[in-house]
Amino acid sequence: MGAKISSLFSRFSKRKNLRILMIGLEGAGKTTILYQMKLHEHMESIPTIGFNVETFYYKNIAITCWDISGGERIRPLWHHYFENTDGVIFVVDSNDRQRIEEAKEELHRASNDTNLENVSFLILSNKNDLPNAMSNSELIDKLDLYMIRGKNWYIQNSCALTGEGLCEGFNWLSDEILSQIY
Amino acid sequence: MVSKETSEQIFQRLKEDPLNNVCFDCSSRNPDWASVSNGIFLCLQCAGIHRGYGVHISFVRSLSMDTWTIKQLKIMTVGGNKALADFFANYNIPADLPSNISKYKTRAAQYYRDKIKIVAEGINYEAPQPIQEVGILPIEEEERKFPEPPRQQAEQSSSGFSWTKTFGSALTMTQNIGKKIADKTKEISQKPIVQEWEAKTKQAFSAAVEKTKEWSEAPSVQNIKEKTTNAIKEISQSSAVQNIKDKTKSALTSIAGKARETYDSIHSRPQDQESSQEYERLPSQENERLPNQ
Repeated sequence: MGAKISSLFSRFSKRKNLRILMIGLEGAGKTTILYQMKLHEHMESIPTIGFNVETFYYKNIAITCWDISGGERIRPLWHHYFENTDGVIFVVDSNDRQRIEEAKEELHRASNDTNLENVSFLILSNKNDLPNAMSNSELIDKLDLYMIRGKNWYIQNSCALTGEGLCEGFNWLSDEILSQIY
Repeated sequence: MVSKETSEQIFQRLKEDPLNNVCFDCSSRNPDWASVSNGIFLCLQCAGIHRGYGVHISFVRSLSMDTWTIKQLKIMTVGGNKALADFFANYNIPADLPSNISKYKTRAAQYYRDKIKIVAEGINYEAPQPIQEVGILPIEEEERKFPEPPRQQAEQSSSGFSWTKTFGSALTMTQNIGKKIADKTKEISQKPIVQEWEAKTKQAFSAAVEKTKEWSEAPSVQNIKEKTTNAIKEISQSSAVQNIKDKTKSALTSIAGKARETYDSIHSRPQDQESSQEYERLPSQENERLPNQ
């Protein structure tokens, strides 16, 4: 109980820095999510070649978010960013049924990486406002999420255009990371 | 999957048509992206806009950075900028459509996408082409509600103590109890005895209301009413009451003035500093926004 109370105090006392990595197939909405969290507005983005980094404050935590391009040629380079990462956000286009298999492969490749041991995964089921979007249970099934071993994960619906669901997702991820550290 | 050399050769051949060597939307030169589902070539900027439509409207690939399948390459060969431009020319789609009902979201465009997909497989597409009035209508998309956050999964996957979880479950419990109470009340209120008594109470109440009306119109009651009004008038116009009124008013104004002064002296300075800092921060964010532009 004492540890709980002291962790609570430290939670409020000083600002934390978290390094979060955002990956996913191209066109899933990573850059839109990044700028929605940073500027709280929708920005027309262009396909990312390379990466975008932004730092924003969420609930007294400084989150440095790396948004890595999801292009096919860039994906083999993702693992260079895995070191010293506190949390991973995997963005899935819930409307893209044709490439869900591809997304699954990339997700499992990342989650089995040794640099990401014990790192929590937030799976954002983006574009959930579209009529043909997959439900969470369908995504859990298609992405084989129960095969992810040794780490916590959470699936959250989101709509990056309006920002719906993003705060809930970041809430879970930051709570999860802080409960492991402190 | 097709090797990179093959796909590049095919794109080079397709780009021999000068119309394919410009972006379909903005006509900038040397497009490096393509919307596979619409069979057109795009520049980087317009590719970004197309990605925003969603994959059911426009599936965007990079000519140089992505690997292509044979089927996708066939669609590009069947389609092309000229074919879609000719197709859209039949429909006279107004150029100033708002961005949320773009020309790619019309029924005509949907017909075209279905068509080139089938034709690319070597099959004749026999569905009738929509007439102009129908073609310019937007695709019917059913409204979808944003789903509720899944509470049960959160409890399964995250471990340890969390405030949000505790409050969340307390909230649901309270909600459930409230619901039960409401249900029980409904059940009881529909019993015949309860309804009988309800009717009786209503009757008695309306009788009482009528009686009160009768009494209030009686001359003795009216007499008392008049006297009371006169008395109140007299008292309020007496000099003592007026005196107290004036004094209270002046005291209140002086207190309000004092409070205003104190508030200003405490709050004015730090607030100004903060807002000026905010202003200084804004432009630098603006610059950071797009590192790769």
